[in-house]
Amino acid sequence: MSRPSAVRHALGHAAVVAATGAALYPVLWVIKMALSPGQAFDPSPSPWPRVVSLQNFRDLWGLGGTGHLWRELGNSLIVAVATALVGLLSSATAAFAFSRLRFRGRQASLAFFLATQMFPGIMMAIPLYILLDDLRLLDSLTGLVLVYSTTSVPFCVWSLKGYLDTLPRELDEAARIDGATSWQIFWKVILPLARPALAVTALFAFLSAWNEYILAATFLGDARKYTLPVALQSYVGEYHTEWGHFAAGAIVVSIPVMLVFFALQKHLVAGLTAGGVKG
Amino acid sequence: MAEVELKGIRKELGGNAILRGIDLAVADGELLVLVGPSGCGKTTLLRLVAGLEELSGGEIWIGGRRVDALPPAERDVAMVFQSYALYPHMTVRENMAFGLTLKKLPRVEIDRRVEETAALLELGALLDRRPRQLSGGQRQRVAMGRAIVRRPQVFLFDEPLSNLDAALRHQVRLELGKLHRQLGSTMIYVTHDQVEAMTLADRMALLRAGELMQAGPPLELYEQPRNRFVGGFLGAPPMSFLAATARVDGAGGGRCRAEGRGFSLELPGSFELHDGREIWLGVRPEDLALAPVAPEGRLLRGSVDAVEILGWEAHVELRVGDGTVTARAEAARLGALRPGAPLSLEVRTEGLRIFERSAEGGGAEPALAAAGKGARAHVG
Repeated sequence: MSRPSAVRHALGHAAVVAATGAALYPVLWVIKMALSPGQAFDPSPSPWPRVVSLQNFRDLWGLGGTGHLWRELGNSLIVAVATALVGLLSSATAAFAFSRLRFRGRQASLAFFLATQMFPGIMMAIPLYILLDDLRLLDSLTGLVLVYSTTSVPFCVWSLKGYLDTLPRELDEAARIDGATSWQIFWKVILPLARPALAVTALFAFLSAWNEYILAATFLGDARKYTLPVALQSYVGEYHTEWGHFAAGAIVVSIPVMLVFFALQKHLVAGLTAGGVKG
Repeated sequence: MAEVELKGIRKELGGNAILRGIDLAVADGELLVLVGPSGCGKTTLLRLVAGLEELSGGEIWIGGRRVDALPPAERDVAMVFQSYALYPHMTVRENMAFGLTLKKLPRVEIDRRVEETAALLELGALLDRRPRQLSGGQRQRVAMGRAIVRRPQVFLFDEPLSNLDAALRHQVRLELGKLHRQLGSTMIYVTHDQVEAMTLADRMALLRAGELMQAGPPLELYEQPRNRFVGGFLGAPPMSFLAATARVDGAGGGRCRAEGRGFSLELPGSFELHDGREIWLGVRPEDLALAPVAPEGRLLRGSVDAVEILGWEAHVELRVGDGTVTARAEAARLGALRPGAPLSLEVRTEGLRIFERSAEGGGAEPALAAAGKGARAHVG
């Protein structure tokens, strides 16, 4: 290899190392805060803790402290899984209809679905609050799932429809000639082929519910119904912030997200349709 | 098995007429090939028979039953798609069994039929593979198997060989012909490849811009083209056309000649044209021979435009006046023939086809007479 290209090689590596460091530094800082005993904010630039202690985690789980992390983790899981299920079940059929069937009002409904995505969630906070109050669904996880589904379903429909549009129409036609009804085409041909897209869509719906803070904080007054982001925020007080607890909580919140991501990762790899038609 | 009847088939899409009234019948057990240039509507016609498109007008009858209002499944047809359209997530066995499973046939019967068909197509060893693990030729056979296993009244093929390479296409074409003789089923086969059409067809229907140009046995279309389009479509290299004017020597009963720029050919006695008639002379490559000496009325003189050597055989393009003709010749006899060189060709005038020449013909001017075939319809 000639010299200029070796230099360029080294420079490229240096750039990548620098970018990785910049991305990892804040994460290391959070880990350092979580592992340092006490709740003070340590302003030293070192990303390594001086003393390692698991006290902050113990406090969160309620071991000798006041935390209720089990309860909050459970609440968050219920809401996020339910949102993902509602999103997937109602959007898969809708996406199939939008992608494969031709009916009056198809374009208009699609545009309408898109329009609902154009408003920031916070704009709906007050109308939704009034609605939930009327439905006696304030302070309820069911209410929160309903709220999250209003935003996740349209997104899921669009994202799934986009994928279904890429599946060759000849597959539907072959199935129709084979005697399949629309439902059978959906269930036996399209759905199995849409698995990668279903995984991505479910992941999105799960994450959007898992991470959501503002609406949850607005609709949940009862501390026993708190989801993780709301509980985390409670460590940040007006006069005093429990940095150690906050950082430990942030780590706990991110672990399930990573687990879900790894679990679905193999489905995220496309290419399931390769070979059906010329390829 | 059944006969298929198409009556006045019309199809419009977004204000464009795709098919303009097609009348066509396919006899029981016959293999009909729909052929034509791309955009002629042949695939649309097939999809209409399958029930994948809706008619704008006309009737479709299969086995004495009117089917154009029925969904595809109730028409009892099977289709082999150009892209094969195998279900990617199913094994070969599941692909073939899918239609039978939907019909709720007993498991034993399904297994028996799948095994039988797999044996017929030599797919036995591949039954548990998925489509992406198969080669192009194997996928093509699975697609055929999926059609055969259902024992439909009519098979529909949409350019089934166009995704195969040339060598495989030749082999599969032979197998397909054999399969048709074995099954004895009614088949409609769409292709743009005239070799496929000529070799496979019991009868051939040539379409152009949504209209049926001519239907009949392949050789009939080749030998008695009804118009200039049919003449020019079939044959490789294709028929050449020279603009000419009919000249009759002497009073009634005299010899008829075709005169054009740079040539004057004597027409055989079967042509009876009146003096001054504007005509197209259709010349097939096999009716032209390299000949330094030939009687004046059978000679075309010109300069070589291009020479294509294909091995044993060569194609020579000769510029005659303001037209060109293509001749087929033995490559070894050409020597070092260069473009621009003068060359004489002898015309076997008995093979000439004559078409009307008019401004409004649009490439499909009707034939005036076919030499030696007794088809002297509509002599000018």
